[in-house]
Amino acid sequence: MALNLFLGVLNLSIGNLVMIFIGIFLIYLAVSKEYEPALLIPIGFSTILVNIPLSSAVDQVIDGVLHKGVLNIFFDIGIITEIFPLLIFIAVGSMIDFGPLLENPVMFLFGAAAQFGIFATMVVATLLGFDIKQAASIGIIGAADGPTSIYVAGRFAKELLGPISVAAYSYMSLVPIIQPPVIKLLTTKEERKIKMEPKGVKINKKIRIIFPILVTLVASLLAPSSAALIGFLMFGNLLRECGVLNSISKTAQNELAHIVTIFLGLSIGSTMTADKFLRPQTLFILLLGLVAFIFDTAGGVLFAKFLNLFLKRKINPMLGAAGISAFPMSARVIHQLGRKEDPTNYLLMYAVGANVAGQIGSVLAGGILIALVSGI
Amino acid sequence: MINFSEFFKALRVGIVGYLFLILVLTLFFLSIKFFVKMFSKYDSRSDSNEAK
Repeated sequence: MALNLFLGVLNLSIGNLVMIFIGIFLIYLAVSKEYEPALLIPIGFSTILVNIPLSSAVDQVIDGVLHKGVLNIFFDIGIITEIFPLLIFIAVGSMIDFGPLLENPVMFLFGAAAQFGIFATMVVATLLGFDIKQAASIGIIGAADGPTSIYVAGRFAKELLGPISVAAYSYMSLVPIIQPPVIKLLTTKEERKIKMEPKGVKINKKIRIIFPILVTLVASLLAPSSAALIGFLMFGNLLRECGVLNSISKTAQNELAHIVTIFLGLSIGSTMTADKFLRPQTLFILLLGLVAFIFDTAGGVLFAKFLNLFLKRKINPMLGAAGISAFPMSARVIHQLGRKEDPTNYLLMYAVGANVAGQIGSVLAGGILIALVSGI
Repeated sequence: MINFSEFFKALRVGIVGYLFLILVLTLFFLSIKFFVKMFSKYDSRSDSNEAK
């Protein structure tokens, strides 16, 4: 009978130990390197919890009776139903100021172009043996947008949710390391020095209120599968911009974001069991995630260079790379690169515009992928 | 082994999806440009009325 007390230790496998180490490593990255700590700490801790043999935090069958574990319950409630990523979108929408994009609406084009990595990586993933649904879920890492990745992977490849989420959030933190070499490789010094003059357009309140409604209507009518994603994002933005719900907007930005992030992280961690994570597939997914971010950056820069062929007043092609939705990291990287080439060049507002356009672009790309892949 | 049927499906989805995304965001670009122009004209007119 006393042996029952040691069942956890007696059932510990090498796989469990490796996963517990990975959980601790994620917490280490979050604490010491500050890689998306709000997500990686709950994911890391949950990874430790689910890899303890006979852990009561996950489903267990005892004497033929299923005892639901709390982490599986979180997963079923929040991920299977898609509620957690959508709630996060309300929070994200209420945090974003689309003003810089409205001042320079041409940045919308970069928000689309820099999603190239999503589609290109999906094609590459099929060459590595993934089926189209898994490939689409891996490609969406290139959205550089955690909730969209979780939403699409939750729909198409639940078994890959753990590695896809870890890749998405890790690479988002690594944008300052991934983007600069790709940009430098694809642009000349002269191109990086192109100056962007501030426009000074004043965006009034009416436009700010019309914007989320217009985007929701147009996007949802053209791609109905993106209605939930774009709708919740824009609903959050409407809370921010309407001017009569300031306290609710602040709640969405703070309390809602923090509470849902905790549950989202714990739910994702519940999928990080040794049998699901310790596979060659995981390495491929981590590698393909990096490929997606590189393709995104290249797609944005090359599209800007293409546009310059037809423009009298050239655009700094580095702004194309800010079209990924890693906000505000990517905008900051582009601004700093611009200042490095010419300290009088101030690209920040343009880069932020491209960056928030990337947020809309990535969400739409998720919806488009769901529509196209579901129809196959 | 490479499954070419999945590859060609993905290629088709990739091309159609990417072009469609660019099309939709171009539509956003044009409509927002129109709205910003329209409302700033309206505002400048009301400003000049106030000045009178």
